[in-house]
Amino acid sequence: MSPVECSFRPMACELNYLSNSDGSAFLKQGDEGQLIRLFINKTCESALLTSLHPSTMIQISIEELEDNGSLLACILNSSCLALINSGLAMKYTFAAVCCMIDEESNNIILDPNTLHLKKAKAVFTFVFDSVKKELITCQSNGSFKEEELLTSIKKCREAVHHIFEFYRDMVKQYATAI
Amino acid sequence: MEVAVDDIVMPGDKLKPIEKVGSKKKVILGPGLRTDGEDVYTTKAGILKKRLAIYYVDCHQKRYIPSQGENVVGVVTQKAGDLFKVDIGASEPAVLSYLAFEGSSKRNRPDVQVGDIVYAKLAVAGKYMESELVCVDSFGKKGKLGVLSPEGMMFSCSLNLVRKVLKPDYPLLKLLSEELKYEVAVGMNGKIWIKSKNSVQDTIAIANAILASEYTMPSEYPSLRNSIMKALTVLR
Repeated sequence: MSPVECSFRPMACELNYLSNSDGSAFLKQGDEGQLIRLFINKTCESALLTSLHPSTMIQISIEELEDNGSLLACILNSSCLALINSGLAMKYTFAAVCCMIDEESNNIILDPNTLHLKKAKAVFTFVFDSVKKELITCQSNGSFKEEELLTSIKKCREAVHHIFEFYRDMVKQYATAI
Repeated sequence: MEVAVDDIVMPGDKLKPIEKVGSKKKVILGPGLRTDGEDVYTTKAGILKKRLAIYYVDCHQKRYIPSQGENVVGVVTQKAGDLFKVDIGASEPAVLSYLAFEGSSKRNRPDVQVGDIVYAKLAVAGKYMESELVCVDSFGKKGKLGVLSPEGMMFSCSLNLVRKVLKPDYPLLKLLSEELKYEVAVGMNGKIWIKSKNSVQDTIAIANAILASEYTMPSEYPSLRNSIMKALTVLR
């Protein structure tokens, strides 16, 4: 493997996760593990109609197999698909989009891979709901200006309907198979 | 997004107006739908369907939510004084009183052990309360309910398959019964118990046939049965 291909988060802590699986999507990248759990928790809680399930635990376990950038977005999207598949009552579905700002050109790149991320000065993950396309979760990393953040949100919001269409296609495939 | 009957729906979609305001027609909102003010929204992903005046979302589901009056198959996991705890695959175990068996009294306790499989009816079910099971009907008779033989096998499947199996015109069980003798208990909670009169192989073969029927067209059931029978004759 050439040094470029090697991901800068080389330790997929899958093994560790499996041995003490406490059920939650616990993904350790430096000190980010706890944070990711919070993101998933809050995002899913906003989408679910939790009042319909009193005294019930809803457990989302996530296992990372490969990381090629935009990991948090992928995790959130997969948990949304899992919730759809489980048939839990939801107010809306949600979709996460990752984007970054290039250090040299200041361009906004959507869904960056690990190669792109090496040249990033700021990385964002935005989560939108499917009904009003409102921002429900935002994670940022790096240094950026306010207007850069706002343009990134705008760009991601325009792109997010692709993910919602993908969800609908998936549901269509499954629903017609039965 | 606005959706109509027979569309693919996602959670949060809004239904197109069903009835005009002031219409006397009754409309029933089934599973997967909720009202918010004047509008009706979906809460599940699947196909929006309508039967008579009932609107509902048809979706693939494995998670069981107890509902009163449904027959379920469960495993006794604990004996707690007068009660048995039964795992029916819901978010919490259901309770089964020892008095809820035919002919049982304080002196005459039913013989139920931890690990037994029971076929019971949900007498009480609600999201705020523990579900309660009974093994008698309203006349105090057991009917088909009660402890199932330990020689059988229980397996889990999707709720859609259970509903399919319980349809009166489900042909597979009848087709299989032409060749094999068996007992079956189908729980609405996605658990099916099967016991063949002859051998363990037969039991497993029937279970596989039922599981395969989820994604098989009813017209192909005879060939499904034939392939299963062929595999069984090889084993014998």
